[in-house]
Amino acid sequence: MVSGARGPDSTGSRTAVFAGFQEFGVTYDTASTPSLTGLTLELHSDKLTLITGPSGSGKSTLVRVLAGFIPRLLHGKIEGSAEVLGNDVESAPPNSITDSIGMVFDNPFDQLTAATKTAFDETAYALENEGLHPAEIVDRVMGALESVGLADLAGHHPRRLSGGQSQRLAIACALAQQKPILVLDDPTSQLDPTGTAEVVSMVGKLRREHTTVVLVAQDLTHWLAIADRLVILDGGRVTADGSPASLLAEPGLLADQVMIPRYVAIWAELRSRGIELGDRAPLGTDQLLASLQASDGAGG
Amino acid sequence: MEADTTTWSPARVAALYDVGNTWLHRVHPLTKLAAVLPLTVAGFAGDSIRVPAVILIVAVLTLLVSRLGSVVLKSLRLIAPMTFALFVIHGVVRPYESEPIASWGPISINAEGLALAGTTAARLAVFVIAVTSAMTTVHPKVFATALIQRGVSHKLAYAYLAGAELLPEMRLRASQILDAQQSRGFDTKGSLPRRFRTLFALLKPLLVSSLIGVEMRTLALESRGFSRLGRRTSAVEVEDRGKLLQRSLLAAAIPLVVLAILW
Amino acid sequence: MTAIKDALSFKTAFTTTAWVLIPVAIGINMIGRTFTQVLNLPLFLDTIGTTMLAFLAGPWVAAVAGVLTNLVIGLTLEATSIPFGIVNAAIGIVAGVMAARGFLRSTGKVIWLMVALTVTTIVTATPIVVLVFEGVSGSGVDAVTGFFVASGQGMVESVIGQQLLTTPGDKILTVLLAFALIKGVPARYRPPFAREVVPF
Repeated sequence: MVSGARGPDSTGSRTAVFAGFQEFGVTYDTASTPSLTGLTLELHSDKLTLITGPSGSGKSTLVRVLAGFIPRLLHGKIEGSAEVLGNDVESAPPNSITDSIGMVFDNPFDQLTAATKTAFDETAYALENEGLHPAEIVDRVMGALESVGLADLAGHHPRRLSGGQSQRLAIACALAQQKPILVLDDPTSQLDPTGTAEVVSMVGKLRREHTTVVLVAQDLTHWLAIADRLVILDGGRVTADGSPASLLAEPGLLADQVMIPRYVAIWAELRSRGIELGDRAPLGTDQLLASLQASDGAGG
Repeated sequence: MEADTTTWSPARVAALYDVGNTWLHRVHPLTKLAAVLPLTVAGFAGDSIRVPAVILIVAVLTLLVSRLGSVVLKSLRLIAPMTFALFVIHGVVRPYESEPIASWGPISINAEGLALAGTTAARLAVFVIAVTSAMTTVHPKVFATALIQRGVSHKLAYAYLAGAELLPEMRLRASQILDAQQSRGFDTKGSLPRRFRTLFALLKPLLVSSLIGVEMRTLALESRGFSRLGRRTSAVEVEDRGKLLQRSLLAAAIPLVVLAILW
Repeated sequence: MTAIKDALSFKTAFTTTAWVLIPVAIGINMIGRTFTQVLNLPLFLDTIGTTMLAFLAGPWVAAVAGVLTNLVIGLTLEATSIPFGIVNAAIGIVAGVMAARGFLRSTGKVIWLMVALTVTTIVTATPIVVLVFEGVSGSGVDAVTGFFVASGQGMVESVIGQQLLTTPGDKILTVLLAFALIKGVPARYRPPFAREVVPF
């Protein structure tokens, strides 16, 4: 099911397409098999698009294309076409894509410059490269650190931050650059529960402020509630695409490709035992509880 | 993961740099660095201890008066083992034609050797104290900013700053691994090659993971404008001054070299 | 073969990846030093990072890493290490050029590489040790130099003698450890130069 064009978002509103892939494929120079193949997908502004799939399904490659890294920095053979913000990824001038897409990686520390002594300097680095006036740098950096809740730690050494704080710092770096689109590649996979909670609530806040977010996650547990759309990749192509609640309504069909969150599994199990819980999967434990209480009320 | 503050004190991270506001802290970083050259050349010019000794005495007194005694201590810590080795090799071990000034059994001390050891130690001390004074009183970021202002590539400045950050970090992590092994008593068992193997096996993951992290850091830097063309600014404003003084200091080394050759 | 050409040209060698690798090489050089200091070995192993980088990204990138290693150590810890940046850079250049010429492809050739690195070290380090430091280094190898001096050798001969005893072992281990590190890094993370010159 390849259905990016059908605009499967929960609100049903039509928003601008900022990236489009047409029968797109990538084979890295160092690999013999393609990482993406025949991928067709459109991504919309002002949405949170959640991308999942098994290891090796091409998720990370997809976001690296989206961020302007492939094929300019990570070389490979390209098939079909991909356009990000009006630029063809193969012919885009350097920085035309990277200037607009903020990227947050899975490893909280390797994505830092390693050349700075404070969270402030770390956030300022990109702005210094842009040649901004020092006063504007200070304004933007403090604003960005404020909005990720790290203003108090501006003077701390980046290495002394916790994993969750470090991920928020990476988000702050993108915010300070005022990039309209944020791409996160499994940002909580290397974090403890506290760090995960911090990052999830941060992304939720950005989403409410209408930031466009593309998020890759293997574990969907924390993300379904704030996702507008769920895209499932397998073998380098899109295998399912739609609103999270409707896609996960038949979790059994997706079990090979998706780590089904426990609350969805419980919901499906109860439903299979004949308990009436509606045909939209819950997107969090609280939604499961609510529908259980509703069915309890109806039944009892 | 709350980092251990005892192992991550700023002093251990920033090595030589000491926060402060002495007159030397206020001198432009490149002026301090430029001064190293004529001072060192003067120390090595001539073939007696007189010039380096005078420079040293003036430097130490100035530093002490300026409440920069820490510079003297740091320099001493570095120069002491070398001075010891110089005195042993030249003053004691090395055979001379001339009569020794003192001898106890097989050990004899020679005046010529002592003079050479003293002169060399003083010359090295001038260089060490000049570099240490400069680097103790400049924040690395200010140093890098000053260099970029004078046309040094910001990429080179990045490599310097990142190297200066990674160096203590790697050293710290390596010594933690090694300490942990030693406290388990590893150095009592096994031959040297075997211990070597064990230790390398322990350090390898740290090294390999730092190499694997390179790809991600490359992409992260790219998305933060590393390759962008055009002028750089800095969040810390460093006044661009003292160009003439710095050039004069560097130029002063030339007549000193000529003088030394003619001497 | 374009990867080799690119790495040998000063204009194209310095990619962003190269700039990111340089501080890592500096850190690895530092680990080698710490390692020998803790174990109290009469070795330095302070050019493992430079040698490894020469195999990964060629001579120029490695030379910059070599100079910067001693500059960083010199400006943040020990000023006396600065002059030896020349040695570290020379090792990077020799290792990188030989790697590009295929000297990593067979055991026999690797032995020549080890010999070349030993000669490079002795030729570049001896003048510095003799002229600037009058024969001492402030470390354990001074005892070896002292032994030669005591036996009546001149300073140059003593320093060369000491280096002939300590450098070959140091360089053999350096090359082997650099290999071991590269082997630990999956091929897809290696820069294009390494994919052409490293045989595994």
